[in-house]
Amino acid sequence: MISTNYILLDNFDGIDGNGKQLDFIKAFPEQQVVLGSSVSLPCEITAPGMSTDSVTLILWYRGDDISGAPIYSIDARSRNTPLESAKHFIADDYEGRANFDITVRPALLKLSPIVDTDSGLYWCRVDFRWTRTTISTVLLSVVVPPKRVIIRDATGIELKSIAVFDEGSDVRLFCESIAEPIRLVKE
Amino acid sequence: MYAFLVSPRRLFSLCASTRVLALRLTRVDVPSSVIMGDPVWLNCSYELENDELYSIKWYNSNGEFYRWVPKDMPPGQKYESRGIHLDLTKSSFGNVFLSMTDLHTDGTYRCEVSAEAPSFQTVKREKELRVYND
Repeated sequence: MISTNYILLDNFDGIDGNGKQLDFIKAFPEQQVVLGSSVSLPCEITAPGMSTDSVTLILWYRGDDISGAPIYSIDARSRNTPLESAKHFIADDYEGRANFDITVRPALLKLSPIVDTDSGLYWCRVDFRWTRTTISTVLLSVVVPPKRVIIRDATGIELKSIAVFDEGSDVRLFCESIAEPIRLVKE
Repeated sequence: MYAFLVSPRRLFSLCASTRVLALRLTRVDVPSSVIMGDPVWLNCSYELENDELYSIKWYNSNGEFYRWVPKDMPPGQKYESRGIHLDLTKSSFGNVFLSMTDLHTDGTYRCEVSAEAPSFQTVKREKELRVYND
């Protein structure tokens, strides 16, 4: 079986002509976004080095999803279909909220509106015809602003507006809120 | 009488969302330690239920160094990578033969298997390989 024909476009150990390490695996900086807003997750879709190779497949998937079902895919393997015309497939829980813009560089997966289960590590895998696969990762943290603050007394009863305590007695108050991540609420 | 037209992709999405794992890795074997110079086998086995295989890829920290794509001709392809001395004539599917090892072979290895369209379900697992000077 002849095997060496297919490494012509990528015949190096990841170092380009200038001695610079090429990025086949690119970790983009973490993005923190507020619940309900929108975010653009980057994905490197240009072939590394000087390659003019074509993209055959792009898959977006969540690192924590053990089912492995991609959240977004673009299948451009057919020779008659350039990447720009290939169909986009979107998983159900992202339907209507996700759009992958491949006209920009890096390409951007736009999610809007963000829900709290969107938090996690996103992987974008780009398969090329000959060049080695490129993977972009980006961590998305969804910030949930604090909901109303609840103050309770020692028996757990919620205190609204005015609470009466005997002078000189011990008073313990408990402060509750729901937020992600936890932040100190001062009064 | 109602008739529903559901595309195969949507049907699969429904299955995936109820955690039916059509594709899963059954074994990913990477020896945890190797004497420098010795050859090494990396094995990756999977189970596909009703899906077909699209690709099996092996990566280390520098990126992909091997792929097996049944629809390609030939299906096996390797990429030059420091520390990877891959014998493509002995390698097939998820089974990769490194004919020798050096200190740069040391590192994290990942096997990634993808099912065919429409699902493109993708599973992966990482293992560490340590190379020791004898």
